[in-house]
Formats: sequence, structure tokens, C-alpha cells
Amino acid sequence: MIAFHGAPSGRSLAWCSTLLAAIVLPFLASSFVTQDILALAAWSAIVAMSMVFLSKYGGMISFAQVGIYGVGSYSFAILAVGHGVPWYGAVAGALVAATLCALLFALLVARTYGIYFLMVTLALGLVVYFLTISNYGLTHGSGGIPGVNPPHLGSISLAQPIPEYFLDSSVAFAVLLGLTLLMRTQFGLALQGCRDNPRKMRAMGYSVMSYRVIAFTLAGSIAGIGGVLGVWYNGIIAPSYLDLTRIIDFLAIAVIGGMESLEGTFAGAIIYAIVTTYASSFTDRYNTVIGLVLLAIVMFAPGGVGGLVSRVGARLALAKAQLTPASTE
Amino acid sequence: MEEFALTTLNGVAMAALYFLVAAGFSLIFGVMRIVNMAHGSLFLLGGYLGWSVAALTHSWLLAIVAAGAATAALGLMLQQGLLRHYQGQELTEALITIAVSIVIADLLVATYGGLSYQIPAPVPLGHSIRIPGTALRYSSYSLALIGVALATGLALWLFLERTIWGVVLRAGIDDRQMVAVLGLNIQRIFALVFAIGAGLAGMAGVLDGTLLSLVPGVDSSYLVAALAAVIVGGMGSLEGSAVGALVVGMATEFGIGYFPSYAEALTFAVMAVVLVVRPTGLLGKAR
Repeated sequence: MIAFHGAPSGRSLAWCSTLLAAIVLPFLASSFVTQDILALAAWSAIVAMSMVFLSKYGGMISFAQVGIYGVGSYSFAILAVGHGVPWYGAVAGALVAATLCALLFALLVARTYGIYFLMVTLALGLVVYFLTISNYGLTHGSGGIPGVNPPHLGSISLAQPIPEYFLDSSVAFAVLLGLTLLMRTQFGLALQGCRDNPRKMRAMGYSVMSYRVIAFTLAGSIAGIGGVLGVWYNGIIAPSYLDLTRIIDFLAIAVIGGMESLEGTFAGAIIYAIVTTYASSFTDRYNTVIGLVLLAIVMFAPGGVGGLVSRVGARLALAKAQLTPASTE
Repeated sequence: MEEFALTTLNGVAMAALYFLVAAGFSLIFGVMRIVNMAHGSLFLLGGYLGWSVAALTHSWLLAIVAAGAATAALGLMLQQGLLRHYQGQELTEALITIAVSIVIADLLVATYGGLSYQIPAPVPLGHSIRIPGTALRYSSYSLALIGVALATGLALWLFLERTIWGVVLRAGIDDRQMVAVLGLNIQRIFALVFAIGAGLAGMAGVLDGTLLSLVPGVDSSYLVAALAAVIVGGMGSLEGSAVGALVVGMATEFGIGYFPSYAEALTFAVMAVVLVVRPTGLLGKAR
């Protein structure tokens, strides 16, 4: 009984200290670190979470998330910069566009599974990239749309490092919390059932296809949120933000954090931001460094950081469980 | 009318290149269930190597042979050194090829920079010829390219249909466990298919570097063309790759020729229709 109560309290302790660090850190760090590491990591984690969510709970490894994220970014930029729509209207438009795009993709891919699903979604993601390059009227070709500004809330500009960080990180935490809670509902359990045994779920009268479509669309909305925050952070959206390298960037964040761990995306995004920021200062070949890091993680720590943490946690819980019988007797 | 005929010929020439990339990609997927994300990188690497060899020796033939051999050897190393230990773990295999593709792409940028390179066409194919029976003139190199793709397709077909290796390989596509149970050395087949696929990609790189040009980014555009071709045509089938490559090549060229802003949308639309009507591709087997 003691072990049963002990395990969650250790976990909530870890959560509380992480949350505390997330609140205090930006005030201790330089504004460069707050913006270029922490804020970048926070919104990148949202995009990676949309990928990990689909993989973990839906069994769908989607490479289309960056394309959908791009639809969100472009829609915001086109509405706000091109048509002068106020920011809240442009945000709403961007989320609707990303969600509709995800729904369209979902209807196309819902009948494909496994590695084939991966391939089809990769092709869809790259289609968005090539469309934005070849289209001048709407997306302005390879130059993209510069001059995107985050809004002002009263006297606070969301372009400032600390407000931007708190916005991005609180949205990221909200997404994490929302998804975690959603997966405990009837819907979440049914989705996981569809992941584990689609034939059985079908026999039980569930429409597996609908669950997959809904999950993919939801993940698309989340990627769209990341798209809005991302375009605020970058100040520009261009095809080069959606190309294969970028798809791999977000995949690397998800893999470093662990494809089975939503929380892990935060660790993955911070590690990734640190490596890209600091590796580029001592070598031009930082992409090679990233490739080798990715290779090492895939080969030696397939669960990523999240997998390592839960393995250590399990080991600690085991040690505790071995200790407690003696004390309760 | 002349524009239409030229666009069609361009489409067939693009399809020839796409086929050479897609056939290897599709065979590797068909036999090993590996989505080889490094296929585009092998393609670009082959192109650059071919350029270097051609610059040194002034021989186009030597360039394409060297590029094919080098990328086949690299593919073999990738399969034997890394992928072999993760057989059946599809995501891990895809991620390994992604990591390798990042490293290859970055090292290519380090070596060749961002400039565009063109490989001079072999001397007898440097000009255009009149197509018999018409007033149309067309690049003899592009016509030769179509011939090379046809010959390669025929050779692959003969290999698959008429040799004992091909029989084992096709059996491996249908049921690789059964093949292994029968005591056939499936590992050797895997290695062979990977080498052939990688070598074809490298040779296609040289052919593309002669037809168009080589720049960073070409790797992902050919990867996506190969993806689209096998999604449309069907996975693991040689005929499927040919049909898919033809559809994608035509869609690309007609898109560029007639509505350039939405050229990719046409390829996408074709792919979407195929996915809705036949999720396994036009010639793919239902699984």
C-alpha cells in the first residue's frame, strides 16, 4: 500500500519541480536563451506533440504534420499581412484552415496502415511544400511572406522574449494536459483500442475509420496552433520552413523525446534547440551532428528521453517495492 | 499541337528518370518493408560523383558506371552495417535511413556547396534530332534516356521473371518468412536488392545531372517523385513503378506546361484519387 501511494507522489513531485523551473527559468536566463532556446522549444514541442499523439495513441506515424503546421502559418500570414485581418480573426482562420486540411488528408489516408501510412503522409507533407514554392499568387513562391508580427495584448508585446515564452509554454502545457485527459475518456480508450486491434473494434461495432479520421484531424488542429505560434516566432513563413529538412527536424524532436511520450517532446525540443544553436557556433556541419545524434538515439535508446526516464522510474519503483515489504511486516 | 507533343515527350523523359529512381525504391520496400528515405540522397550522391568522374576523365560512360558502382556499394554498406540488425522494425529502419540521409546531404553540401552542376552529355547525344515521320525536333539525349529506362525496365523484368534469383525475390515479396523457412538465403536477396536499388538511384543521378542539373534539394524532389510514383502504381511491383512513374512524369510536365502555379496540385490530385479508389495503388496487390 505504501508503494502504491509512494509512486504517484514521486511523480507529482517531479511535475511540480518541472513546472516551477519552467516559471522561474526565463527570469534567470538571458533574453537570448529565453527566446532562442525556451520559446523555440515550447512551440516546437507542440508540433512534435501532434506527431507523438498520433503515434502513441493512434498507432499512426504521420509525416504530414509539418505540412499542416505550414497551412496554419501560411493562413495566418495571408490573412494578417495580405488582407489586414485583425490577429484574432487570422488566428481563427489559420486554425480552421489547418483543421480542414488535416480532415482532407485524414479522409485520404484513413484506410492505410503502418509503414504505408508513413509514406503516404510524407508525400502529402511534401505536396504542401511544393505547392507553396510553385504558387506565386497566394504564397509568393520561394520568398514566402515576411513581416508577420505577433499581436500586442494591451501594453504587452508578444514579440518580447518573456511574454512570448509564457504564451508558448502555457499553450504547450495546455495541449499536453488536454490530450492526456482526453485519452482517459471513452473516446481516448476507443482510439487506443483501434490502435491495438482494429478488427476486434470493428467487430464490436466501432467505426475504426471514424476514430482515425477524428484523431488525425485533432492532431492537425494542434499542428495548426504550432503553426500560428511558429510564424509569430519566426516573423516569416516560406517554403523552406516546410521542406524535407524541417519535416526531419520535428521528427528528430519527437524521436529524441520518445515517440511514446508526450512529455518527452519538451525534452526533445530543448535538446534540439540547444544542439542547433550551439553546435552551429563551433562547426558548420551541425546537420551531420544532428544526423549522428538521431542515429545514436534510434539505435541505442529507441524510447528517447521519455523512454529513459520511465525506465529509470520503473527501476526506482521496483527498488522501493522491494524495500517496502520489510517495513510493513 | 506541337506544344502538346513536346510536353508529352518531356513527360515521358521525366517518367524515365522517375522510373529508375522509383523501381529500386519500390523493390526495396516490397521485399524488406523499408521506406528508404536515403534514396534521394543516394541519387544526388551518384550525380555529384558522376560529375567529378566526368570532370576528371572526360568520359560520361565511366561517370555513370562509377556512380552506379559507388552508390550500390554504399547501399550495401547501409543495409549490412545498419539496417540488417533491425529487420522487421519498420519505424526504426525508416528513421535510420532518415539519419543517414541527413548526414549524406550535409556532407554533399560541405563538398560541393550550393552551386548547380551539369554533366556534359556524351558527344554523340549532344544535339537534337528530327523524329521520323514528323517535323518535330527533340533532344537526342532525352530520347536515349527513354531508351535507357526501357532497357533497364526490361532487364529488371527478365531478372525478376526469368531467373531463379528473381523467383526467390518475388516469393520474398509475397511471404518472406515462408521463403526463409524453405531454407533459401533471404539475407542474400535483401543485400542484392538493396545494392541494385541504390545503384539505380546513383545512375539516375548522373542521368538527371546530364538532362537538368544537380543542386541541393534535388534529392528530396526525386524522393517525393518516387513516393508518388509507387503510391500511384502500387508498392513492390515493377510494372506498378513504371505506370506510376509515367503518370507522375506526365502530371508534372503537363502541370508545368499548362498551369504552372498548381503543377504539384495535379500530381497531388492524381495521387489522392488513386488513394481513394485503390489504396494499394493501381497495380498493387491487396494486403
